[in-house]
Amino acid sequence: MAQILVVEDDRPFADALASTLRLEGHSVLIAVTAYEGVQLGITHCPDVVIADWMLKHQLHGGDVCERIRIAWPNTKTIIISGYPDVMPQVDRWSEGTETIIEKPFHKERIIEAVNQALSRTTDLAANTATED
Amino acid sequence: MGHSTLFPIRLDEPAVKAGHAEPAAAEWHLFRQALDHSSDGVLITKQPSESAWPLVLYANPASNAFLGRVASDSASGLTNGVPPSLSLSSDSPLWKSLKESHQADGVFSSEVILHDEAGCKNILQLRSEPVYDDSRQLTHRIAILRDVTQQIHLEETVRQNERLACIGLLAAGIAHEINNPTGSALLAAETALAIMNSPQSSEQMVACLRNIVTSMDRCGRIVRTLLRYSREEPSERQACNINDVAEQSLELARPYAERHGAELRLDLEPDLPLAPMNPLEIELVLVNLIRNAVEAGRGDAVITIRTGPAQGGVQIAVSDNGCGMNKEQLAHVFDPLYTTRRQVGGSGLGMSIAYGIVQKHQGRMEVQSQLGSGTTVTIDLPVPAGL
Repeated sequence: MAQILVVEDDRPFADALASTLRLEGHSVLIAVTAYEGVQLGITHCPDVVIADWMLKHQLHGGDVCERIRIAWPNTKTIIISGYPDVMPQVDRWSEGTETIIEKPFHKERIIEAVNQALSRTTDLAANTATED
Repeated sequence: MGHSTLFPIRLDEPAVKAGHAEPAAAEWHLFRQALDHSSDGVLITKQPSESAWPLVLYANPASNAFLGRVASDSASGLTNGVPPSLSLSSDSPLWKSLKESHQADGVFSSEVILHDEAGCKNILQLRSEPVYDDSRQLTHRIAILRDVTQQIHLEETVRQNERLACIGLLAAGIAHEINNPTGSALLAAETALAIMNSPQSSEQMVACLRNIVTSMDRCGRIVRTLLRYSREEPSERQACNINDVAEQSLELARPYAERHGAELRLDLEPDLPLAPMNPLEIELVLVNLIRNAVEAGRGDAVITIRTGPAQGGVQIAVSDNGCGMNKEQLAHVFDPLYTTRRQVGGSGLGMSIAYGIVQKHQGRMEVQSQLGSGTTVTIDLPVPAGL
């Protein structure tokens, strides 16, 4: 079980995504603005952040993830977006992002992405342990 | 004696009466040459007295073409009172307009639609002005006929293209918007399927189903909005609340604005009178203005749509805190094809079309701008007394 932060300004979407993830046994926090996302991310040290790219106002999902990773470098980030034409922007930005997923997506897609992100966290932890 | 009074009297009564100065032959010739070679039709008609139909005293060669006759006697030009039956049937819309013009006091203008032998529609613009004699009696009318078919088709095409461009812009935003509710319903439905057989599922199941209903309802609304826009616009006007039109425009432009990091604000004055308008056209104007405002922004644009009363009507204004315009840009703001965004696909037609739509509504459109601090476009729409 991991702690996942969903940053998504579309409330019904955030709720549906949270239900899907909770069903997988994860503990899920929801932020509906970029600022709330940064705040929750910094205070809760989530294992994975799933952020919508196109958030209202100034910060986009990438900005949110970047700020959280400054505080918690091991936090894995996944970007989701309903705007296919912003995908190139996301790609350019994508340093540190595990996966970019286009909306709409099936639950298997996001579960797989979360599991992959988590396994990398574990790998990293294992590597660090070996180096020690 | 000035030319303006000299000329029509001579044509009506070619024989020079005693007391009138004989015009110089060269001058007379110049008049005739000018009219004979004009590409606009020129008709001089006499105020009807006994006959209900005006008499045509002069028709230049171009007008002969409009009248559908062979310009057989273009050298003389004078038709000496050709009765309507000889040139056009009396139920021809052109004759009807000419007759109507003689019932008017001042300048009369109308658009006349004629069908040629091939069945093609030709649109003539008729502008008829009164001609007075020395004692200020209205004796004749001079009618200018211009074929505006191509011009009108071009205007329609340009307007249609701009509308399509605007729809394209909206469609892109709206189609993207659909991905959220679709994605939300998809995940909710899959969750519902997964928990179907679990004993404690009922509350969660209800939440999932509600989510699906809300999301699908949202999809439906988005699609309806788009369809409403892509349908042929109805031309009739209806009494509308400008606040509703402002809200609808804001909804249409919101996805585009948000994608560009712009914030849209509404400042609506309640209890405004209803104004006659074609709401889709005014929405198009507002969406265009919002688009301009978004593009003038520097990443942190705040765009305010404000409504209020105006003298004899209602006012709606779109303000931004963007880069503003310099004097040269401001001077050309309504010129068709003037754009500072040619490289990014700007056609320069948006503002001139917006202006055209507002004018068609007998409204006023004004632009105030300060370089570096923003632009405000104000539209006043009249509310006729008694509405």
